[in-house]
Amino acid sequence: MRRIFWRIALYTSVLLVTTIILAPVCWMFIMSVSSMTDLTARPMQWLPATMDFSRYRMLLTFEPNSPGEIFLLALRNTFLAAAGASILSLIVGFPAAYSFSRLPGRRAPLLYLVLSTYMLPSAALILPIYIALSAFGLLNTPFSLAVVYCSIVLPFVVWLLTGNLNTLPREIDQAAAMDGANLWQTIRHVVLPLSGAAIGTAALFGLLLAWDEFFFSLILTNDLRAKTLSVAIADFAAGRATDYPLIATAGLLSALPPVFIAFFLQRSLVKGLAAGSVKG
Amino acid sequence: MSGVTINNVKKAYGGFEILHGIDAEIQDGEFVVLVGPSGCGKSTLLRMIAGLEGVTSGTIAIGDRVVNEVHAKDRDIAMVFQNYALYPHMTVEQNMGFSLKLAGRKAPAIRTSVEQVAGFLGLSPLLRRYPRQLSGGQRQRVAMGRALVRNPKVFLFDEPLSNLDAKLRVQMRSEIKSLHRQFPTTAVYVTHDQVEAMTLADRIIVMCGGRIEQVGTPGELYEQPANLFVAGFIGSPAMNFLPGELADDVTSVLLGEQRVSVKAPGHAKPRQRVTVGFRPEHVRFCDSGGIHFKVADVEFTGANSYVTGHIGREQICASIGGRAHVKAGQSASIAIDPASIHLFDTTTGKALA
Ligand SMILES: Nc1ncnc2c1ncn2[C@@H]1O[C@H](COP(=O)(O)OP(=O)(O)O)[C@@H](O)[C@H]1O
Ligand SMILES: [Mg+2]
Repeated sequence: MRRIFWRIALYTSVLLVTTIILAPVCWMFIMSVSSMTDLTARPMQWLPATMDFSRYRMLLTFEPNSPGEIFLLALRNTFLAAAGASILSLIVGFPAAYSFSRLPGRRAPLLYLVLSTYMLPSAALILPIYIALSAFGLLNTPFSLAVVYCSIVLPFVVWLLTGNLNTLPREIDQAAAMDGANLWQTIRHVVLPLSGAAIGTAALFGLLLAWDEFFFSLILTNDLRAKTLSVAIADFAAGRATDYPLIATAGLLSALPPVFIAFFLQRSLVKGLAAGSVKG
Repeated sequence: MSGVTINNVKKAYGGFEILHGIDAEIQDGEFVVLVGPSGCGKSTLLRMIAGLEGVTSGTIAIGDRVVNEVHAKDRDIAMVFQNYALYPHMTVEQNMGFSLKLAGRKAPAIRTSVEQVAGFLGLSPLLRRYPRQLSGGQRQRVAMGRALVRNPKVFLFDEPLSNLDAKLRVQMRSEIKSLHRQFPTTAVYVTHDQVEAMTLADRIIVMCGGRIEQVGTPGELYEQPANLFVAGFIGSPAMNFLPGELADDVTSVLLGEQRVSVKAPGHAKPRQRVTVGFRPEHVRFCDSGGIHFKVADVEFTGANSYVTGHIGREQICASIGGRAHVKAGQSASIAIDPASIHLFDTTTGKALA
């Protein structure tokens, strides 16, 4: 009797959580296939009279001076900036994490310093970054956005990888040294292959952190050459005749890539986050 | 192959000294065991020989070359770690061949060497497996194999058997011993287990609190312990110690009310306070005229019986072959051969010799 009660309570709460998470997404989908009149009608029309997928076609067709052009270019820019930030952060972050985890010395304060930059509000950083980029003529490019995103992604990547490397027994590196491996060979043949899950997790989180970013992109980009999805969607909303279904469609489409990546990397993700709790 | 010379080596961590000047000479091809209680600095010393820890002061030489500043990878030493430290993402074959691959040997040559050593250690059927697919004993063997393949100048072992169950430990112990007989490479072996030390070693270095207490063959340590620590550490069950006082003529010692004749060295002083040590296996029960002994407990293990009891207020243990003919609560009389009595200066703890 009690067990049944707990079971019902459990399933109810799972259902509740799922509903809370999925309801906005569902509503966004309904909006995206509704017509403008459905959405502005009084009383509210919860389900559209006909399903209208035309905005999907509109956004996914590349035509000059159309919402499609804006959306697809923003998608490209977002991808370049997010992937660039993620890759750059890994290239710099892995050696940093290795050094924090393995090399002797008093580096702990430095690690906290790295983490504290993660806590800095973007608003405090934006002015110096803007001035620096403008001095180098690097405003309004996805590449410079990627570099700037590293300020968000890199501390996180270093922190995650350091934690994961700390769970890898030092004796394994030392065994490699006894086998005649230099630092580079140790990292290349032993540490890197054993950090695959952690690196995957770090890459994914880096990608997601950068994908959603709004503030830096808003300030540092100003046209289609570099504008990212979050800013492009905001622009759709700022137009004179706001097209709600179009905004909903753009929002839904821009959420799809990270969802797909997360879905396929889920295994590695869970492994990377759980490393250390289970010894392999 | 080469020996290892350790000259006044000290190690400090952040100003806190844990090795206080170690001197040791390990001969080419010798099997030396570093033994001592946990935390006495054995592993630290071994890791300094390996090059995994820096030397605070003093020198370590392998062969004729001082290696203080030589990186671990260039010392040509192999080490077997307590937790084996196999590469989890490599097969047994890759684990064993890794050093040869790094050394730039060709794949067929690596394969030949690995297969030869694997055959030797009974690992041939396991070459394709990953470490996680092996039992503890098999992993241990792979760790040994990885060291053997390299044919290094020196082997280092840090408590390699302590993660195995008792039966496997005894088996691996004798395998290590016979391996060393076939490949007499210099070996330094760390353990806290004195039985392991006694059975494996050509020579034993007994350490305590960051110092060397005594160096010698198993026989020397057993028969002529240099001090109370070594006397109590080597041998199982441990040596019995009783407080005593030398007689005026220094040929006997007063144990409680009993006078027991001993062989004291010439420089022993009359009426000197001494600690009398004798091993449980050197105690005999006699009919009468011996030392008065009150039996507290008898443990029969099959081959031996351990009889614990008291002389005066001091507890001692006697080890008797086969069954003991005494019972708990009974009074008995024991005798100790004067030749097997050890005398120690009570204040310094050093053997009177
Ligand atoms: N990295 C270190 N930092 C500070 N103290 C250490 C370090 N490694 C070992 N020690 C200390 O050195 C002493 C000897 O350690 P160790 O050589 O591992 O002992 P053993 O192997 O004989 O058990 C211990 O008291 C230990 O706490
Ligand atoms: Mg140790």
